[in-house]
Amino acid sequence: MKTQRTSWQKLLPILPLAGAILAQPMSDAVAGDAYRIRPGTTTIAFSVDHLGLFQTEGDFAAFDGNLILDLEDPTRSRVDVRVQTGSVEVESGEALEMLRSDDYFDSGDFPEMRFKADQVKALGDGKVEIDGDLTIRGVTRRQTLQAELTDRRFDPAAGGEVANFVVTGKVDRVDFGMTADRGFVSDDVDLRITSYIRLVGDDVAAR
Amino acid sequence: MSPRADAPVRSGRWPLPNRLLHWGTALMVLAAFALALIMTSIEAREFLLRFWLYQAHKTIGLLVLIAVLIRLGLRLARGTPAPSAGLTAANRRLAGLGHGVLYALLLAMPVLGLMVADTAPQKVPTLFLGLWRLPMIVGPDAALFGTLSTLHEILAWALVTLALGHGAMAIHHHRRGLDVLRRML
Repeated sequence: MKTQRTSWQKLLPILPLAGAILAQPMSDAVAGDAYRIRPGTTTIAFSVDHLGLFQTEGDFAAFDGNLILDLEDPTRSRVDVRVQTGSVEVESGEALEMLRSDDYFDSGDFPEMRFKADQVKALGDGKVEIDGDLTIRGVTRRQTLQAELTDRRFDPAAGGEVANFVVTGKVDRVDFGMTADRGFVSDDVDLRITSYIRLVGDDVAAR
Repeated sequence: MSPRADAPVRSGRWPLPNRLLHWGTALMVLAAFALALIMTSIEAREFLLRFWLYQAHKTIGLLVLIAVLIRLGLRLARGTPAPSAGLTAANRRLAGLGHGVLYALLLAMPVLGLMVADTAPQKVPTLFLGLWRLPMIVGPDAALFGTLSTLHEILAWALVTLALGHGAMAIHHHRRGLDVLRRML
């Protein structure tokens, strides 16, 4: 009974936390534990470089996706996230208009971008490499991202083991047709996605 | 050998370093002002040009600060030449007041400018002479940035207006036969 991980057992410990700040595990029709990738528990941040002297940071406010995390067999983990390009946020209003314009995300014509991972490779030491299709401005390219589970800890407030699922990587904006301002805005866009998740495991379910 | 009655009295001339720094400051203030007008009206997307115009503006501002500090140091160390003869005591006091305000503005403007750059929402570094990066002290602060930039702009117009008035008065007194302008040449 203890080793058999049924759906209700896994959901049980988080039921009191429904609607709380944690990413909510969904049904486990798949092997790993499924999480919803949503604002509040997840941040999708990016940064570009200017002349090697300073950076501009930004993030997205609206997105939705799923993360299936299989800690025993990381290669079975999956990610699928859709981001509303118009929800991009940066400090300056001028830059914001620019990012939504045809030169960058072209939010009018392409309101959504998507990353769908179909291949996960374990790199050891808790790190994985995620390969998938990244679609921006209607252009789909293969994209590799790195992911790792950090700050794994017992959180008494959450009543269980929590961790940050951190995804990083470099996206070449030019690949997706964002060719504007190359003299000032770097081609490489540093991506950093942090998802605060409550790990669901036997040890927790048995409590 | 007594001067001719109609010849202006040459009561004292500023030493060469003071004169060079004075005219250098005048040129730099005008250049910084012109750059400010250009860099704030330029097309937003001209990132690179705008970046270097701002850097030039900020470097000039820092040079003004250095020049003014040296001038004040020289005044403290060596004093000033004897006051120009022919000015009434009231005029001399007014001129002194005007010069005091000019010095204050010349000191305040670069300091304010640095603080504007420091608190700006975009963390654009200040590169003195395009080479040396100044440390960030306060960091982005939208409210402070708004107040400081407005003040910087108002004082910029005040400084340029006062400097032009200063020049006009010098020419005015020169045409009256006083040596106030030639003391600085």
